[in-house]
Amino acid sequence: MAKNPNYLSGKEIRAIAKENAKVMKRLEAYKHRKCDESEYLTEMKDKSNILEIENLNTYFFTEQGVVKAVNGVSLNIPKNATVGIVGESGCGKSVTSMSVMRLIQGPTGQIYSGEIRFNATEKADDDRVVEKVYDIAKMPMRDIHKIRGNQIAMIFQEPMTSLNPVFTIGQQLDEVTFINKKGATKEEAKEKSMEMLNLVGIAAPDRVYAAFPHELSGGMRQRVMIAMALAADPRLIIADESTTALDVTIQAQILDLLRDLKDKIDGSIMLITHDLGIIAEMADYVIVMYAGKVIEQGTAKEIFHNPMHPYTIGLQKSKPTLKSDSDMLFNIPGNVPNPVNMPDHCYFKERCDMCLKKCSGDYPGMVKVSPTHYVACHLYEEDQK
Amino acid sequence: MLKYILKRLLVSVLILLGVSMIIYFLIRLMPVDFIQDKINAINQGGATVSEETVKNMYAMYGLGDDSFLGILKGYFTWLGALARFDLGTSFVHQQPVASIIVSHMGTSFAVALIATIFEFMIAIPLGITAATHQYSIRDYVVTVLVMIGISLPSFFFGNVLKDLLSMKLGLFPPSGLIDATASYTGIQLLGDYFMHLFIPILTVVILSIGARMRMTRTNMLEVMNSDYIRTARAKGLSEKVVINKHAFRNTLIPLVTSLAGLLPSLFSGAIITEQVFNLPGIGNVALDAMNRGDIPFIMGYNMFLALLSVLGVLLADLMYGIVDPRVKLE
Repeated sequence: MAKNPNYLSGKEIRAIAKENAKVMKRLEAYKHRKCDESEYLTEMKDKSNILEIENLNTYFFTEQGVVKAVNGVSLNIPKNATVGIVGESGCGKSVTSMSVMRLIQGPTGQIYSGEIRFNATEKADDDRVVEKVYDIAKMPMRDIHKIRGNQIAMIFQEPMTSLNPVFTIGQQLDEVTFINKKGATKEEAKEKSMEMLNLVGIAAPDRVYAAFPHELSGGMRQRVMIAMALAADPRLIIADESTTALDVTIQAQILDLLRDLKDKIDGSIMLITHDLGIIAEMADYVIVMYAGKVIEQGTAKEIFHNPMHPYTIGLQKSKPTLKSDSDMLFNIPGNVPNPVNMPDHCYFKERCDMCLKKCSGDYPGMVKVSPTHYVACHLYEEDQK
Repeated sequence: MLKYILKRLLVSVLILLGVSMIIYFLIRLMPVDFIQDKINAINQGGATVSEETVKNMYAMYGLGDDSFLGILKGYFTWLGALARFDLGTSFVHQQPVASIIVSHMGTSFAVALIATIFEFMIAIPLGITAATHQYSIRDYVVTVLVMIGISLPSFFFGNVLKDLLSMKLGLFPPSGLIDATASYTGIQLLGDYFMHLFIPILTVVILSIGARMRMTRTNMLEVMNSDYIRTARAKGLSEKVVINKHAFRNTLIPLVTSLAGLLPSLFSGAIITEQVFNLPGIGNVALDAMNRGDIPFIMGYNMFLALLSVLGVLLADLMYGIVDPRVKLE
């Protein structure tokens, strides 16, 4: 009988558990260590970026083996830009963003290696604004409050469950002001909260302020989430599928809102979605991810008008259009490979219709197509032309 | 709100009627005969009781007719007395049932109340640490210890503690409620109560922590994995605030509901523990009544508990409305 790759013997499971426990223990201890700030201060490679992720590996240590959810991802987010990250479910988009916020649920989920450099601005004691570059991946959990909320804010994908059901909207919004402004009074906090509710276009801020989350609709809750994310004037907003759960009209309103707000607060947006329409409308730069790796990146124009990776081409094709007469939607054949024990060759090889002989070899490196456009595919390597 | 409470109270009356009927029929069908036992005792003393006297005694106690209609008649007689706030007279004690309940309730209530307070004070923090440090050594140690607590039968563990703390170390008196040889008053009497109740309370606390801790841990884990906890963390709140404010407030909701089952248990007495430590609590009296077929007392005691259960559930629902803003009582 052929060996089923999904079947693990008891011995194998125990070996995996033992190995996992060792690594998880080391990483957990590292996460909770006490250390001086100098240990995680670093320098940006490019001063015009607000966030630089370099060779980030975020792993989940499961009973079946190590799942490399984010497998050597490198990407940059420039100041005042919107960067869209696209890819299908399970490609590591959300895990990348959660890694930036250090919200990966331990002990099973861990940032294994890599750098997340973030350009933070802080008020010094004499009220001067100083820039500091933190390596978020190395920050201990006890210092993580330096970036969460006040520097990087996140809008989650589930507005229905992302608000605490037992506190009023006002209580939850005020909290943000209390954290970020030492010695803020109740009145100050309320004033700021009302201002934020007005900013996100809520018609009756008084009523919403006193309401409990279950008394609001999904769109209203998502607005509240955005207000909450923006209340601390963050420099980077991560919108993780923040419009997926909403209907199209509300979606458009929320996106308009985000775009306006980005200009107002002069920040950057990391927009995570699997909706190409949203990306086309919002993003300056696009990063396409597949199975935990970045496979193509470039400006929105380059990705939409000149997609190069067979996967990106497939993605573009599978977008439903009104013009086509076909009854069938295009889809890319096959499935994402099993996240445990990924092959050594290109992860897309089994589903690719443009395969070369070379594709069975090593994983392709990034090929530079233009100063901003990169693709990880053997098709475009120099010696191929 | 007032309308809701009134409605619930009216429904409660119907429930209590049903409960009383079931209990009465069950007791009458129980294979215990108070009269026969009494006659046997007299017979053993050498005297003989005539057939006629036996018949008269059965009739006197209202147990003469064991047919369905006879039992029904007995039930309505009991119910009629209850309508006049009379729980009847205990066969065994020859005293009004109500006064027996009142005089024995104090001890049981004191033990249960103190034990419950300690149970919550210990179990909830344990459950929270176990949940926030899931799968750590701390979690395993706490879980194993409380599981041992759950698994120990009270008659065994009570005796082990008695043997250790009282017999071997001589720290506490082994049984009873007061030191009969000394006549204490005031503070000293209170101290004497404390010494006598220490081991029983300790037994009850250790045995009951487990369930409450497991419940807290499960709820806490569920809450800790929810989206709003992630939101709270993303805001930049410290882990302490996330756990103690955002998570705990939500864990409280099911804990409050569990208070419903608590109200009757505060008064019902710990039957086995009271036996082991020979405490004059209501549980002990109830067990004795059950063994000897003391119908008025069993009825009175069970109805008292049924009333507390119904009130407890109502109270829990009202509390639900207070701790969970999503619940509206109409």
